[in-house]
Amino acid sequence: MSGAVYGGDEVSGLVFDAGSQSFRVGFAGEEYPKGDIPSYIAVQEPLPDEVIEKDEAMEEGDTSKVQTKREKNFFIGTTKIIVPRARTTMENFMKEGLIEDWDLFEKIVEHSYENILYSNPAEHPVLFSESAWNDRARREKLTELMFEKFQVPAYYLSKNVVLSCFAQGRTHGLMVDSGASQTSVVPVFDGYAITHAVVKCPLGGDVIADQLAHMLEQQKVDLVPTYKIAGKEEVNEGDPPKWTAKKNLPEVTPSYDKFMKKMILEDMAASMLQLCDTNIDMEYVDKLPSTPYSFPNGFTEEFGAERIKLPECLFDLSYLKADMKREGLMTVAQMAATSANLADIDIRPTLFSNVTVTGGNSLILGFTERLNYALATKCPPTIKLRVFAAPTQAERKYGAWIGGSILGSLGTFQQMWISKAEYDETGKTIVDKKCP
Amino acid sequence: MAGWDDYINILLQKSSAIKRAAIIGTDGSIWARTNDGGAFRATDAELKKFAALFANIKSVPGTGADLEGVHYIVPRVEEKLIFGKKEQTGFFAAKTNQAIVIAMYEGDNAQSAAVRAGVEYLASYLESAGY
Repeated sequence: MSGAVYGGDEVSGLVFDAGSQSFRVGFAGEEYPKGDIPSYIAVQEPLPDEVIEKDEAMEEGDTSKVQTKREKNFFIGTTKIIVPRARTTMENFMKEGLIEDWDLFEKIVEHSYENILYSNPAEHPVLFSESAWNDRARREKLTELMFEKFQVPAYYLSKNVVLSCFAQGRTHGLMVDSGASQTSVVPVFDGYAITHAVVKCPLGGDVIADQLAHMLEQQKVDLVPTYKIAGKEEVNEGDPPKWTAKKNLPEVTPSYDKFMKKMILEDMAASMLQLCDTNIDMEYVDKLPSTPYSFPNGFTEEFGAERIKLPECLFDLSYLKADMKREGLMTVAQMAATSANLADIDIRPTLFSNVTVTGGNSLILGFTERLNYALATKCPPTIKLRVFAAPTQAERKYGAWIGGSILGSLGTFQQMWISKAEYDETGKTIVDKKCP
Repeated sequence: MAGWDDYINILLQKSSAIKRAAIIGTDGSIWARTNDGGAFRATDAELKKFAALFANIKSVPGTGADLEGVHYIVPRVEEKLIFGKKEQTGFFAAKTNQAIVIAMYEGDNAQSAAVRAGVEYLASYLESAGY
Protein backbone atom coordinates (compact mmCIF):
# COMPACT_ATOMS: atom_id res chain seq x y z
CA MET A 1 0.00 0.00 0.00
CA SER A 2 1.19 3.42 -0.77
CA GLY A 3 0.04 4.79 2.58
CA ALA A 4 2.63 5.64 5.17
CA VAL A 5 2.53 3.55 8.31
CA TYR A 6 2.79 5.41 11.60
CA GLY A 7 3.97 3.79 14.81
CA GLY A 8 1.09 3.85 17.25
CA ASP A 9 3.14 5.20 20.14
CA GLU A 10 4.81 8.14 18.48
CA VAL A 11 1.78 9.52 16.78
CA SER A 12 -0.06 12.20 18.63
CA GLY A 13 -3.15 12.57 16.54
CA LEU A 14 -5.63 15.37 17.03
CA VAL A 15 -9.34 14.81 17.31
CA PHE A 16 -11.84 17.46 16.18
CA ASP A 17 -15.52 16.99 16.89
CA ALA A 18 -17.65 19.83 15.55
CA GLY A 19 -21.13 20.32 16.92
CA SER A 20 -23.80 22.99 16.72
CA GLN A 21 -23.35 23.93 20.34
CA SER A 22 -19.66 23.44 20.88
CA PHE A 23 -16.49 22.49 19.08
CA ARG A 24 -14.48 19.84 20.87
CA VAL A 25 -10.78 19.49 20.17
CA GLY A 26 -7.95 17.65 21.83
CA PHE A 27 -5.26 15.00 21.55
CA ALA A 28 -5.98 11.39 20.71
CA GLY A 29 -5.32 9.07 23.60
CA GLU A 30 -6.49 11.54 26.20
CA GLU A 31 -9.58 11.10 28.28
CA TYR A 32 -11.31 14.40 27.57
CA PRO A 33 -10.96 17.12 24.97
CA LYS A 34 -8.58 19.95 25.77
CA GLY A 35 -10.89 22.49 24.30
CA ASP A 36 -14.65 22.84 24.36
CA ILE A 37 -15.25 26.07 22.47
CA PRO A 38 -18.74 27.39 21.81
CA SER A 39 -19.64 27.11 18.14
CA TYR A 40 -20.79 30.69 18.18
CA ILE A 41 -18.29 33.26 17.00
CA ALA A 42 -18.70 36.95 17.69
CA VAL A 43 -18.17 38.81 14.43
CA GLN A 44 -17.65 42.51 14.67
CA GLU A 45 -18.11 44.79 11.71
CA PRO A 46 -15.37 47.40 11.57
CA LEU A 47 -16.26 51.08 11.72
CA PRO A 48 -16.15 52.36 8.19
CA ASP A 49 -13.99 55.45 8.20
CA GLU A 50 -15.56 57.32 5.34
CA VAL A 51 -13.35 60.36 5.28
CA ILE A 52 -10.09 58.48 4.99
CA GLU A 53 -11.52 56.06 2.47
CA LYS A 54 -12.71 58.88 0.26
CA ASP A 55 -9.34 60.65 0.34
CA GLU A 56 -7.50 57.48 -0.53
CA ALA A 57 -9.88 56.84 -3.34
CA MET A 58 -9.47 60.40 -4.70
CA GLU A 59 -5.73 59.99 -4.81
CA GLU A 60 -5.99 56.83 -6.82
CA GLY A 61 -8.55 58.43 -9.06
CA ASP A 62 -11.02 55.64 -8.47
CA THR A 63 -14.09 56.73 -6.57
CA SER A 64 -16.30 53.83 -7.57
CA LYS A 65 -15.45 51.60 -4.65
CA VAL A 66 -15.40 53.71 -1.56
CA GLN A 67 -16.82 50.88 0.55
CA THR A 68 -14.60 49.83 3.33
CA LYS A 69 -12.66 46.62 2.80
CA ARG A 70 -11.40 46.57 6.29
CA GLU A 71 -11.20 43.22 8.05
CA LYS A 72 -13.92 42.12 10.42
CA ASN A 73 -12.92 41.19 13.92
CA PHE A 74 -13.56 37.64 15.06
CA PHE A 75 -13.83 36.64 18.68
CA ILE A 76 -13.70 32.97 19.55
CA GLY A 77 -13.98 31.26 22.90
CA THR A 78 -16.36 31.69 25.81
CA THR A 79 -14.44 34.45 27.58
CA LYS A 80 -14.26 36.55 24.44
CA ILE A 81 -17.73 36.14 23.00
CA ILE A 82 -19.63 37.11 26.10
CA VAL A 83 -18.10 40.58 26.21
CA PRO A 84 -20.66 43.15 25.01
CA ARG A 85 -19.40 44.91 21.91
CA ALA A 86 -20.97 47.20 19.39
CA ARG A 87 -21.82 45.97 15.90
CA THR A 88 -21.14 42.39 16.91
CA THR A 89 -23.33 39.51 15.80
CA MET A 90 -23.17 35.92 16.97
CA GLU A 91 -22.67 33.57 14.05
CA ASN A 92 -22.69 29.81 14.06
CA PHE A 93 -20.71 27.93 11.45
CA MET A 94 -23.00 24.92 11.68
CA LYS A 95 -26.52 24.40 10.49
CA GLU A 96 -28.54 21.21 10.99
CA GLY A 97 -25.41 19.32 11.91
CA LEU A 98 -23.54 20.28 8.75
CA ILE A 99 -20.81 22.85 8.24
CA GLU A 100 -22.30 25.85 6.46
CA ASP A 101 -19.93 28.74 6.93
CA TRP A 102 -16.48 27.57 5.88
CA ASP A 103 -14.72 30.85 6.64
CA LEU A 104 -15.84 30.77 10.24
CA PHE A 105 -15.00 27.10 10.44
CA GLU A 106 -11.48 27.82 9.23
CA LYS A 107 -11.12 30.52 11.86
CA ILE A 108 -12.21 28.23 14.64
CA VAL A 109 -9.80 25.51 13.51
CA GLU A 110 -6.97 28.03 13.39
CA HIS A 111 -7.91 29.20 16.84
CA SER A 112 -7.82 25.61 18.08
CA TYR A 113 -4.34 25.00 16.73
CA GLU A 114 -2.94 28.25 18.06
CA ASN A 115 -4.65 28.81 21.36
CA ILE A 116 -5.75 25.44 22.60
CA LEU A 117 -3.54 22.76 21.14
CA TYR A 118 -0.43 24.91 20.64
CA SER A 119 0.45 22.63 17.73
CA ASN A 120 1.71 22.98 14.23
CA PRO A 121 -0.94 21.55 11.90
CA ALA A 122 1.68 19.97 9.66
CA GLU A 123 2.95 17.76 12.44
CA HIS A 124 -0.16 15.92 13.60
CA PRO A 125 -2.63 13.61 11.92
CA VAL A 126 -6.19 14.80 12.40
CA LEU A 127 -9.33 12.82 12.94
CA PHE A 128 -12.54 14.68 12.18
CA SER A 129 -16.06 13.70 13.06
CA GLU A 130 -19.01 14.24 10.74
CA SER A 131 -22.78 13.80 10.86
CA ALA A 132 -24.21 10.61 9.46
CA TRP A 133 -26.08 12.65 6.86
CA ASN A 134 -23.07 14.59 5.65
CA ASP A 135 -22.97 14.93 1.89
CA ARG A 136 -20.18 14.15 -0.49
CA ALA A 137 -19.42 17.74 -1.43
CA ARG A 138 -18.88 18.74 2.17
CA ARG A 139 -16.71 15.74 2.95
CA GLU A 140 -14.48 16.46 0.02
CA LYS A 141 -14.35 20.15 0.87
CA LEU A 142 -13.25 19.41 4.41
CA THR A 143 -10.60 17.01 3.13
CA GLU A 144 -9.35 19.63 0.72
CA LEU A 145 -9.31 22.29 3.41
CA MET A 146 -7.29 20.23 5.84
CA PHE A 147 -4.71 19.05 3.32
CA GLU A 148 -4.35 22.22 1.30
CA LYS A 149 -4.67 24.96 3.86
CA PHE A 150 -3.46 23.29 7.02
CA GLN A 151 -1.05 20.85 5.32
CA VAL A 152 -1.88 18.04 7.70
CA PRO A 153 0.26 14.94 7.25
CA ALA A 154 -2.63 12.50 7.65
CA TYR A 155 -6.38 12.70 8.00
CA TYR A 156 -9.47 10.61 8.62
CA LEU A 157 -13.16 11.33 8.68
CA SER A 158 -15.46 9.30 10.86
CA LYS A 159 -19.17 9.44 11.59
CA ASN A 160 -19.81 10.90 15.01
CA VAL A 161 -22.33 8.21 15.97
CA VAL A 162 -19.83 5.47 15.18
CA LEU A 163 -17.32 7.21 17.45
CA SER A 164 -19.89 7.50 20.25
CA CYS A 165 -20.55 3.79 19.86
CA PHE A 166 -16.84 3.04 20.24
CA ALA A 167 -16.70 5.27 23.30
CA GLN A 168 -19.23 2.95 24.90
CA GLY A 169 -17.04 0.00 24.07
CA ARG A 170 -19.35 -1.45 21.43
CA THR A 171 -19.40 -1.75 17.67
CA HIS A 172 -23.16 -2.20 17.26
CA GLY A 173 -25.94 0.02 18.46
CA LEU A 174 -28.98 2.08 17.68
CA MET A 175 -27.47 5.44 18.46
CA VAL A 176 -29.89 8.07 19.71
CA ASP A 177 -28.01 11.34 19.61
CA SER A 178 -29.91 14.23 21.16
CA GLY A 179 -27.92 17.40 20.72
CA ALA A 180 -28.50 21.10 20.51
CA SER A 181 -29.90 21.50 17.02
CA GLN A 182 -30.99 17.99 16.12
CA THR A 183 -32.02 14.69 17.56
CA SER A 184 -31.05 11.86 15.29
CA VAL A 185 -31.20 8.10 15.38
CA VAL A 186 -28.60 6.17 13.42
CA PRO A 187 -28.10 2.40 13.44
CA VAL A 188 -24.46 1.41 13.71
CA PHE A 189 -23.57 -2.13 12.79
CA ASP A 190 -20.07 -3.52 12.98
CA GLY A 191 -18.60 -0.05 13.10
CA TYR A 192 -20.52 1.14 10.04
CA ALA A 193 -23.29 3.70 10.19
CA ILE A 194 -26.25 2.54 8.13
CA THR A 195 -26.72 5.85 6.42
CA HIS A 196 -29.96 5.08 4.63
CA ALA A 197 -31.68 4.37 7.96
CA VAL A 198 -30.84 7.73 9.52
CA VAL A 199 -33.84 9.51 11.00
CA LYS A 200 -33.45 13.03 12.25
CA CYS A 201 -35.59 15.88 13.36
CA PRO A 202 -34.75 19.40 14.52
CA LEU A 203 -35.97 18.84 18.08
CA GLY A 204 -33.11 19.41 20.44
CA GLY A 205 -31.65 21.59 23.14
CA ASP A 206 -32.30 24.75 21.14
CA VAL A 207 -35.99 23.98 20.85
CA ILE A 208 -36.20 23.31 24.58
CA ALA A 209 -34.56 26.67 25.23
CA ASP A 210 -37.11 28.34 22.95
CA GLN A 211 -39.96 26.66 24.76
CA LEU A 212 -38.56 27.90 28.04
CA ALA A 213 -38.34 31.43 26.68
CA HIS A 214 -41.95 31.19 25.59
CA MET A 215 -43.04 29.98 28.98
CA LEU A 216 -41.22 32.79 30.75
CA GLU A 217 -42.84 35.32 28.44
CA GLN A 218 -46.24 33.93 29.24
CA GLN A 219 -45.55 34.13 32.94
CA LYS A 220 -44.37 37.69 32.39
CA VAL A 221 -40.94 36.99 33.78
CA ASP A 222 -38.44 39.49 32.52
CA LEU A 223 -35.36 37.65 31.35
CA VAL A 224 -32.48 40.06 31.91
CA PRO A 225 -29.14 38.82 30.58
CA THR A 226 -26.08 39.07 32.78
CA TYR A 227 -24.22 41.68 30.80
CA LYS A 228 -26.82 44.32 31.62
CA ILE A 229 -26.65 43.85 35.37
CA ALA A 230 -24.37 46.01 37.47
CA GLY A 231 -25.67 44.92 40.82
CA LYS A 232 -28.65 43.34 42.52
CA GLU A 233 -30.29 43.06 45.89
CA GLU A 234 -31.66 40.03 47.60
CA VAL A 235 -35.43 39.83 47.47
CA ASN A 236 -37.90 37.30 48.70
CA GLU A 237 -39.14 34.63 46.39
CA GLY A 238 -41.72 35.89 43.96
CA ASP A 239 -41.06 39.54 44.76
CA PRO A 240 -40.16 41.86 41.92
CA PRO A 241 -36.41 42.01 41.49
CA LYS A 242 -34.32 45.00 42.44
CA TRP A 243 -31.30 45.44 40.25
CA THR A 244 -29.23 48.24 38.86
CA ALA A 245 -28.35 48.45 35.21
CA LYS A 246 -24.80 48.76 33.97
CA LYS A 247 -23.94 52.15 32.60
CA ASN A 248 -22.08 52.93 29.40
CA LEU A 249 -22.94 49.67 27.70
CA PRO A 250 -22.17 49.67 23.98
CA GLU A 251 -25.14 49.28 21.71
CA VAL A 252 -25.34 45.55 21.18
CA THR A 253 -27.06 43.69 18.37
CA PRO A 254 -30.24 41.66 18.91
CA SER A 255 -28.34 38.49 18.07
CA TYR A 256 -25.92 39.08 20.92
CA ASP A 257 -28.77 39.82 23.31
CA LYS A 258 -30.56 36.67 22.22
CA PHE A 259 -27.40 34.64 22.70
CA MET A 260 -26.85 35.90 26.24
CA LYS A 261 -30.45 35.16 27.12
CA LYS A 262 -30.04 31.68 25.67
CA MET A 263 -27.15 31.06 28.05
CA ILE A 264 -29.47 31.65 30.98
CA LEU A 265 -32.17 29.47 29.44
CA GLU A 266 -29.71 26.64 28.95
CA ASP A 267 -28.64 26.90 32.55
CA MET A 268 -32.27 26.81 33.61
CA ALA A 269 -32.96 23.79 31.46
CA ALA A 270 -29.98 21.91 32.82
CA SER A 271 -30.83 22.52 36.45
CA MET A 272 -34.58 22.26 36.40
CA LEU A 273 -36.07 20.08 33.72
CA GLN A 274 -37.18 16.56 34.27
CA LEU A 275 -38.95 13.94 32.22
CA CYS A 276 -41.70 11.65 33.45
CA ASP A 277 -40.67 7.98 33.51
CA THR A 278 -43.85 6.87 31.84
CA ASN A 279 -46.42 8.73 29.84
CA ILE A 280 -47.28 11.98 31.47
CA ASP A 281 -49.73 11.68 34.28
CA MET A 282 -51.49 14.85 35.35
CA GLU A 283 -51.82 13.88 38.99
CA TYR A 284 -48.15 13.09 39.25
CA VAL A 285 -47.34 16.35 37.57
CA ASP A 286 -49.37 18.45 39.97
CA LYS A 287 -47.92 16.71 42.98
CA LEU A 288 -44.36 17.22 41.80
CA PRO A 289 -42.35 19.35 44.20
CA SER A 290 -41.42 22.68 42.72
CA THR A 291 -37.84 23.82 42.38
CA PRO A 292 -36.75 27.40 42.75
CA TYR A 293 -34.54 29.06 40.19
CA SER A 294 -32.69 32.31 40.78
CA PHE A 295 -32.30 34.54 37.79
CA PRO A 296 -29.23 36.70 37.33
CA ASN A 297 -31.18 39.82 38.20
CA GLY A 298 -32.07 38.50 41.64
CA PHE A 299 -35.59 37.33 40.83
CA THR A 300 -36.38 33.90 42.23
CA GLU A 301 -39.30 31.79 41.15
CA GLU A 302 -40.53 28.32 41.86
CA PHE A 303 -41.39 26.09 38.95
CA GLY A 304 -43.42 22.95 39.40
CA ALA A 305 -45.51 21.48 36.64
CA GLU A 306 -43.59 23.34 33.93
CA ARG A 307 -40.47 21.36 34.76
CA ILE A 308 -42.10 18.25 33.42
CA LYS A 309 -44.29 19.72 30.73
CA LEU A 310 -41.52 21.45 28.85
CA PRO A 311 -39.23 18.57 27.88
CA GLU A 312 -42.31 16.43 27.24
CA CYS A 313 -42.33 17.87 23.73
CA LEU A 314 -39.52 15.47 22.89
CA PHE A 315 -41.82 12.52 23.48
CA ASP A 316 -45.23 13.99 22.85
CA LEU A 317 -45.52 16.59 20.14
CA SER A 318 -48.75 18.01 21.50
CA TYR A 319 -46.71 19.68 24.22
CA LEU A 320 -44.93 21.88 21.73
CA LYS A 321 -45.97 25.48 22.13
CA ALA A 322 -48.31 26.74 19.45
CA ASP A 323 -45.89 28.63 17.24
CA MET A 324 -43.69 25.64 16.41
CA LYS A 325 -44.50 23.90 13.13
CA ARG A 326 -45.33 20.30 13.74
CA GLU A 327 -45.25 18.78 10.28
CA GLY A 328 -42.26 16.59 9.69
CA LEU A 329 -41.46 16.29 13.36
CA MET A 330 -41.33 12.99 15.19
CA THR A 331 -40.91 12.04 18.80
CA VAL A 332 -37.67 10.43 19.89
CA ALA A 333 -39.30 7.04 20.30
CA GLN A 334 -40.91 7.22 16.86
CA MET A 335 -37.56 8.10 15.34
CA ALA A 336 -35.89 5.15 17.01
CA ALA A 337 -38.56 2.71 15.87
CA THR A 338 -38.55 4.06 12.30
CA SER A 339 -34.81 3.94 12.04
CA ALA A 340 -34.60 0.36 13.25
CA ASN A 341 -37.32 -0.66 10.82
CA LEU A 342 -35.41 0.83 7.91
CA ALA A 343 -32.49 -1.40 8.67
CA ASP A 344 -32.01 -5.00 7.59
CA ILE A 345 -34.39 -7.27 9.48
CA ASP A 346 -31.55 -9.55 10.54
CA ILE A 347 -29.82 -6.88 12.53
CA ARG A 348 -32.87 -5.42 14.22
CA PRO A 349 -32.61 -7.59 17.34
CA THR A 350 -29.00 -6.48 17.73
CA LEU A 351 -30.02 -2.87 17.34
CA PHE A 352 -32.83 -3.03 19.85
CA SER A 353 -30.72 -4.73 22.46
CA ASN A 354 -28.05 -2.06 22.07
CA VAL A 355 -29.93 1.22 22.04
CA THR A 356 -27.44 3.86 23.15
CA VAL A 357 -28.28 7.37 24.20
CA THR A 358 -25.76 10.12 23.71
CA GLY A 359 -25.60 13.86 23.22
CA GLY A 360 -25.82 16.83 25.56
CA ASN A 361 -29.59 17.19 25.40
CA SER A 362 -30.07 13.63 26.64
CA LEU A 363 -28.86 14.72 30.06
CA ILE A 364 -32.39 15.82 30.96
CA LEU A 365 -33.32 13.81 34.02
CA GLY A 366 -35.40 10.78 33.11
CA PHE A 367 -34.59 10.80 29.38
CA THR A 368 -33.24 7.24 29.25
CA GLU A 369 -36.03 5.74 31.35
CA ARG A 370 -38.66 7.51 29.29
CA LEU A 371 -37.11 6.35 26.04
CA ASN A 372 -37.05 2.79 27.34
CA TYR A 373 -40.72 2.97 28.21
CA ALA A 374 -41.78 4.63 24.96
CA LEU A 375 -39.76 2.26 22.79
CA ALA A 376 -41.07 -0.83 24.57
CA THR A 377 -44.53 0.04 23.29
CA LYS A 378 -43.26 0.48 19.74
CA CYS A 379 -41.03 -2.49 19.09
CA PRO A 380 -42.26 -6.08 18.72
CA PRO A 381 -42.89 -7.77 22.06
CA THR A 382 -40.53 -10.65 21.44
CA ILE A 383 -37.52 -8.40 21.06
CA LYS A 384 -35.21 -7.80 23.95
CA LEU A 385 -34.89 -4.07 24.47
CA ARG A 386 -32.02 -2.53 26.36
CA VAL A 387 -31.18 1.15 26.52
CA PHE A 388 -27.66 2.17 27.45
CA ALA A 389 -26.41 5.58 28.36
CA ALA A 390 -23.07 6.88 29.52
CA PRO A 391 -23.32 7.74 33.20
CA THR A 392 -21.41 10.98 33.40
CA GLN A 393 -22.28 14.30 31.87
CA ALA A 394 -18.92 14.63 30.20
CA GLU A 395 -19.18 11.25 28.52
CA ARG A 396 -22.49 12.18 26.93
CA LYS A 397 -21.43 15.58 25.71
CA TYR A 398 -18.04 14.39 24.54
CA GLY A 399 -19.07 10.89 23.47
CA ALA A 400 -18.03 11.35 19.86
CA TRP A 401 -14.79 13.04 20.81
CA ILE A 402 -13.88 10.28 23.25
CA GLY A 403 -14.57 7.67 20.58
CA GLY A 404 -12.31 9.59 18.25
CA SER A 405 -9.62 9.68 20.91
CA ILE A 406 -9.86 5.92 21.31
CA LEU A 407 -9.88 5.28 17.57
CA GLY A 408 -7.02 7.65 16.88
CA SER A 409 -4.75 5.96 19.36
CA LEU A 410 -5.45 2.36 18.36
CA GLY A 411 -2.53 0.50 16.83
CA THR A 412 -4.74 -1.06 14.18
CA PHE A 413 -6.06 2.33 13.10
CA GLN A 414 -2.69 3.71 12.12
CA GLN A 415 -2.82 2.10 8.68
CA MET A 416 -6.19 3.62 7.96
CA TRP A 417 -5.24 7.28 7.91
CA ILE A 418 -5.30 9.02 4.54
CA SER A 419 -1.75 10.29 4.15
CA LYS A 420 -0.76 13.47 2.34
CA ALA A 421 0.93 11.35 -0.32
CA GLU A 422 -2.30 9.48 -0.99
CA TYR A 423 -4.20 12.74 -1.18
CA ASP A 424 -1.70 14.22 -3.59
CA GLU A 425 -1.96 11.12 -5.73
CA THR A 426 -5.72 10.67 -5.82
CA GLY A 427 -7.22 14.00 -4.90
CA LYS A 428 -10.06 14.80 -2.55
CA THR A 429 -12.25 11.92 -3.73
CA ILE A 430 -10.05 9.61 -1.72
CA VAL A 431 -12.14 10.47 1.31
CA ASP A 432 -15.09 8.59 -0.18
CA LYS A 433 -12.95 5.54 -0.75
CA LYS A 434 -11.07 5.35 2.49
CA CYS A 435 -13.55 6.77 4.96
CA PRO A 436 -16.85 4.96 4.51
CA MET B 1 -14.69 -14.52 -24.49
CA ALA B 2 -11.11 -15.41 -23.92
CA GLY B 3 -9.08 -13.55 -21.39
CA TRP B 4 -11.73 -12.87 -18.78
CA ASP B 5 -9.86 -15.11 -16.37
CA ASP B 6 -6.91 -12.76 -16.64
CA TYR B 7 -9.04 -10.01 -15.22
CA ILE B 8 -9.83 -12.20 -12.25
CA ASN B 9 -6.13 -12.64 -11.67
CA ILE B 10 -5.59 -8.90 -11.82
CA LEU B 11 -8.30 -8.45 -9.24
CA LEU B 12 -6.82 -11.06 -6.92
CA GLN B 13 -3.50 -9.28 -7.06
CA LYS B 14 -5.03 -6.00 -5.92
CA SER B 15 -5.46 -7.23 -2.41
CA SER B 16 -4.47 -10.34 -0.54
CA ALA B 17 -7.73 -10.11 1.35
CA ILE B 18 -9.73 -11.09 -1.74
CA LYS B 19 -10.48 -14.76 -1.44
CA ARG B 20 -12.92 -15.39 -4.25
CA ALA B 21 -14.02 -13.34 -7.18
CA ALA B 22 -16.14 -13.41 -10.28
CA ILE B 23 -17.24 -11.30 -13.20
CA ILE B 24 -20.85 -11.88 -14.15
CA GLY B 25 -23.13 -10.40 -16.75
CA THR B 26 -26.04 -8.24 -15.74
CA ASP B 27 -28.32 -11.18 -16.40
CA GLY B 28 -26.50 -13.28 -13.84
CA SER B 29 -24.47 -15.38 -16.26
CA ILE B 30 -20.89 -16.11 -15.27
CA TRP B 31 -18.14 -14.67 -17.46
CA ALA B 32 -15.24 -15.66 -15.24
CA ARG B 33 -14.65 -16.89 -11.74
CA THR B 34 -11.99 -18.14 -9.38
CA ASN B 35 -11.72 -21.90 -9.21
CA ASP B 36 -10.16 -24.79 -7.30
CA GLY B 37 -9.53 -24.03 -3.67
CA GLY B 38 -10.95 -20.57 -3.84
CA ALA B 39 -13.92 -21.34 -6.03
CA PHE B 40 -16.58 -18.69 -6.23
CA ARG B 41 -19.49 -20.62 -4.91
CA ALA B 42 -22.55 -18.59 -5.73
CA THR B 43 -25.23 -20.48 -7.61
CA ASP B 44 -26.74 -19.24 -10.83
CA ALA B 45 -30.05 -18.53 -9.16
CA GLU B 46 -28.30 -16.44 -6.52
CA LEU B 47 -26.42 -14.51 -9.15
CA LYS B 48 -29.57 -13.74 -11.10
CA LYS B 49 -31.12 -12.35 -7.97
CA PHE B 50 -27.97 -10.47 -7.09
CA ALA B 51 -27.68 -8.86 -10.49
CA ALA B 52 -31.27 -7.68 -10.20
CA LEU B 53 -30.41 -5.87 -6.97
CA PHE B 54 -28.56 -3.23 -8.91
CA ALA B 55 -31.79 -2.17 -10.54
CA ASN B 56 -33.11 -0.92 -7.25
CA ILE B 57 -29.91 -0.15 -5.45
CA LYS B 58 -31.29 2.18 -2.80
CA SER B 59 -33.46 -0.54 -1.31
CA VAL B 60 -30.61 -3.00 -0.88
CA PRO B 61 -29.41 -1.83 2.56
CA GLY B 62 -32.89 -2.49 3.89
CA THR B 63 -32.83 -6.10 2.82
CA GLY B 64 -29.19 -7.10 2.64
CA ALA B 65 -27.82 -9.42 -0.01
CA ASP B 66 -27.28 -13.16 -0.33
CA LEU B 67 -24.21 -14.69 -1.92
CA GLU B 68 -22.79 -18.19 -1.64
CA GLY B 69 -25.61 -19.06 0.71
CA VAL B 70 -24.56 -16.42 3.21
CA HIS B 71 -26.71 -13.45 4.07
CA TYR B 72 -24.72 -10.23 4.11
CA ILE B 73 -25.77 -7.02 5.74
CA VAL B 74 -25.37 -4.12 3.34
CA PRO B 75 -24.32 -1.07 5.32
CA ARG B 76 -23.49 0.94 2.26
CA VAL B 77 -24.39 1.36 -1.38
CA GLU B 78 -23.27 3.89 -3.88
CA GLU B 79 -24.35 4.61 -7.40
CA LYS B 80 -23.03 1.36 -8.85
CA LEU B 81 -21.46 -0.28 -5.86
CA ILE B 82 -22.80 -2.65 -3.24
CA PHE B 83 -20.78 -3.29 -0.12
CA GLY B 84 -21.88 -6.25 1.95
CA LYS B 85 -20.49 -7.38 5.25
CA LYS B 86 -20.85 -10.15 7.77
CA GLU B 87 -18.51 -10.06 10.76
CA GLN B 88 -15.02 -10.40 9.39
CA THR B 89 -15.98 -11.19 5.80
CA GLY B 90 -17.69 -9.22 3.12
CA PHE B 91 -17.92 -8.41 -0.53
CA PHE B 92 -17.76 -5.53 -2.94
CA ALA B 93 -19.72 -5.60 -6.16
CA ALA B 94 -19.34 -2.93 -8.81
CA LYS B 95 -21.47 -2.68 -11.91
CA THR B 96 -20.22 -1.73 -15.33
CA ASN B 97 -22.34 -1.37 -18.47
CA GLN B 98 -22.74 -5.05 -19.12
CA ALA B 99 -21.12 -6.78 -16.19
CA ILE B 100 -20.75 -6.90 -12.45
CA VAL B 101 -17.39 -7.41 -10.75
CA ILE B 102 -17.69 -9.23 -7.43
CA ALA B 103 -14.92 -9.80 -4.91
CA MET B 104 -15.41 -11.76 -1.70
CA TYR B 105 -12.92 -10.83 0.97
CA GLU B 106 -11.91 -11.74 4.48
CA GLY B 107 -10.31 -9.03 6.51
CA ASP B 108 -10.79 -5.92 8.55
CA ASN B 109 -11.81 -2.47 7.56
CA ALA B 110 -8.36 -1.37 6.52
CA GLN B 111 -8.10 -4.22 4.04
CA SER B 112 -11.62 -3.63 2.80
CA ALA B 113 -10.55 -0.22 1.51
CA ALA B 114 -7.97 -1.93 -0.69
CA VAL B 115 -10.54 -4.47 -1.88
CA ARG B 116 -12.90 -1.70 -2.81
CA ALA B 117 -10.20 0.13 -4.70
CA GLY B 118 -9.38 -3.07 -6.62
CA VAL B 119 -12.99 -3.76 -7.56
CA GLU B 120 -13.59 -0.19 -8.65
CA TYR B 121 -10.38 -0.15 -10.65
CA LEU B 122 -11.37 -3.25 -12.57
CA ALA B 123 -14.92 -2.02 -13.07
CA SER B 124 -13.83 1.32 -14.47
CA TYR B 125 -11.32 -0.38 -16.75
CA LEU B 126 -14.00 -2.69 -18.12
CA GLU B 127 -16.34 0.23 -18.67
CA SER B 128 -13.73 2.11 -20.59
CA ALA B 129 -13.21 -1.01 -22.71
CA GLY B 130 -16.90 -0.99 -23.57
CA TYR B 131 -18.08 -3.66 -21.16
